[in-house]
Amino acid sequence: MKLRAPQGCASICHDGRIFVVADDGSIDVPKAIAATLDAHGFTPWADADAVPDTGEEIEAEDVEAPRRINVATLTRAELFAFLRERGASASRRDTNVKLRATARSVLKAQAASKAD
Amino acid sequence: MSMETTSQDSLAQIKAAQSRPLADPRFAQLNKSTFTENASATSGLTFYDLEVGAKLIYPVLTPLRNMIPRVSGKGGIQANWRAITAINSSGLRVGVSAANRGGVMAVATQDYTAAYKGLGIETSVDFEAQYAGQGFDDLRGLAGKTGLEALMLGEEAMILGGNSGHSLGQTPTPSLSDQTTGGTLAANTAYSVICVALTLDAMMNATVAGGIQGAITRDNADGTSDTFGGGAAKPSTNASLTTANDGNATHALKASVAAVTGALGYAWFWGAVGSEVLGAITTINSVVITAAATGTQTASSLGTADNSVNALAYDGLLYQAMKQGSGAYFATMPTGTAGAGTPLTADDAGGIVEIDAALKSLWDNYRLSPDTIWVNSQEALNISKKIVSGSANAAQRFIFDSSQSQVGGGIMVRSYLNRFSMQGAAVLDIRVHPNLPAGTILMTTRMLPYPLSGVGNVMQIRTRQDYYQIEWPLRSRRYEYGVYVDEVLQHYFPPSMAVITNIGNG
Repeated sequence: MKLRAPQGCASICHDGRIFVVADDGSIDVPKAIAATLDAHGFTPWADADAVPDTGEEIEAEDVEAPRRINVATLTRAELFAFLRERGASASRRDTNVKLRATARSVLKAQAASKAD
Repeated sequence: MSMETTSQDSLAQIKAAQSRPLADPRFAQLNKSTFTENASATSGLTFYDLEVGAKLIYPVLTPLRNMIPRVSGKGGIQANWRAITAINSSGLRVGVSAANRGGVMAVATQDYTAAYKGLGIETSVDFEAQYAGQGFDDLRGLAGKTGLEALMLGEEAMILGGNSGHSLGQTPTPSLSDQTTGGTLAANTAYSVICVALTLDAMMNATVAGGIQGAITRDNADGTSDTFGGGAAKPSTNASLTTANDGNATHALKASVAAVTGALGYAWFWGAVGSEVLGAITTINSVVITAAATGTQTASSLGTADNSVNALAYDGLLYQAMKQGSGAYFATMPTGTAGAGTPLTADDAGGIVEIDAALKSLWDNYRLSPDTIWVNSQEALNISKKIVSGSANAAQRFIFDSSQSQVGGGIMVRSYLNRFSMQGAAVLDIRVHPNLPAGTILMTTRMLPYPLSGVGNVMQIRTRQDYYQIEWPLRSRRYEYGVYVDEVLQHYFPPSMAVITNIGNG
């Protein structure tokens, strides 16, 4: 069962087994222990969850108004809007991590074409 | 020379003359006092203003012992009684046809026993101590008095939570989670955590500095010794977790265990594997570990036995209620947030959800209402706050008398209205018990609303021999006294009690 770890939680130990929190803040544990982890701040995973990211920042310049876009801080809805605006494909089944990766690719492609 | 100059000169000469005798060596002895006050209260010719008789400044609070009737037994090793707990338990219909008789009803019965236990404590007074105390206090009298009071205090604790047969077993293994902030634990370090569930007896005698008590071997005044459980369950298996390797010494560990029925507290040991040290004692089943443990007792010193039961005690109210199959209402609050637990819940209508659930259960199942809610000071405060603050938008209102512009601060809710009662709302007293740890509530009933139940006292102390004191024959130059009682706590209807444990503070 996939759970969302509380902010700042790195790993857990239950019944002698260690579970490490993934970079996207998720953790996979047996369903039987999910209730126990409530006390430690774990909540059921939902695709709409804001996912803590690496904090990597990519600059982008808009045609009308130059601005900095931090992909890591965009919500799921903002990610869809960002990708649609730039003609990139995005599916509702994509995770936030995948959407962010796509967004970064788009930004890099934009930056490269501008440099050319 | 003017007149003014002459006067000033004369005044100066008078002053000089007045001071001269003291400065003159011939009058030096006049400068000394024969007697002076000594700075010390115990030196010199100073009266020692000691009030005769030692002041006895210690509490002797025994509310349950004071309240519960004491009756004499008739020998034997245990009190026995039988009860009819339900009539027509199969729900036979009572309609009869013309000229015919009805069906034969069944009754439910139950047997009860309660084994007598001896309680006692010893005091002694050296001959020299008695000589030295003459004129100040009667030390032999004090020995008897303080012995009786100490026995009563111990008896009160046993009435509340003596545990002769409810083994807590092995404490569940803790679950741990590493928090990268909130503490001072090192990064990339393995921490091992062990938990030990505690009974009331253990909780009353536990401190982080002094440790908890596993097996107790007590040396007696007659040279014998007794070994019995100090109230600590079998320690859990250790859980170990290595903190993240982020280079920050800001880690904290959240630890929780599944709540243990009968536990009124939990002791937490942590440190390196095999060197776990006592660091916290909680009244809920979780803790947040933010720093190295400050105690000195190691978990390994407790051994691997379950020491939760005391064979020299009888079952008190809490453990009679929490015993499997007692029929009493028992609820454990959810684990909630680790370190904080789950507090009681205000119903925003002047009540507490969990207390109402207990009262409703007692009415639904047994058609009775308790009359007293025993709480710790923590719950007394929290219940008051929740009832008052949770009523801000309710239909009722509180009116404060502000005569002469004086308003006293603080509100104490002293009673609770049971909405589930045949006679309309019944009032329960809320009383703080000196031995009840935070996080636990006990409800008791003094009268059963059943006609001709044959139960004079719902709970009573049955004595084979009530309080007595023995001045033992001299075997050295020391007076030796023992104060004893031989008794058992009888509860004729444990289902009339309710217990809520694992309550968070808030």
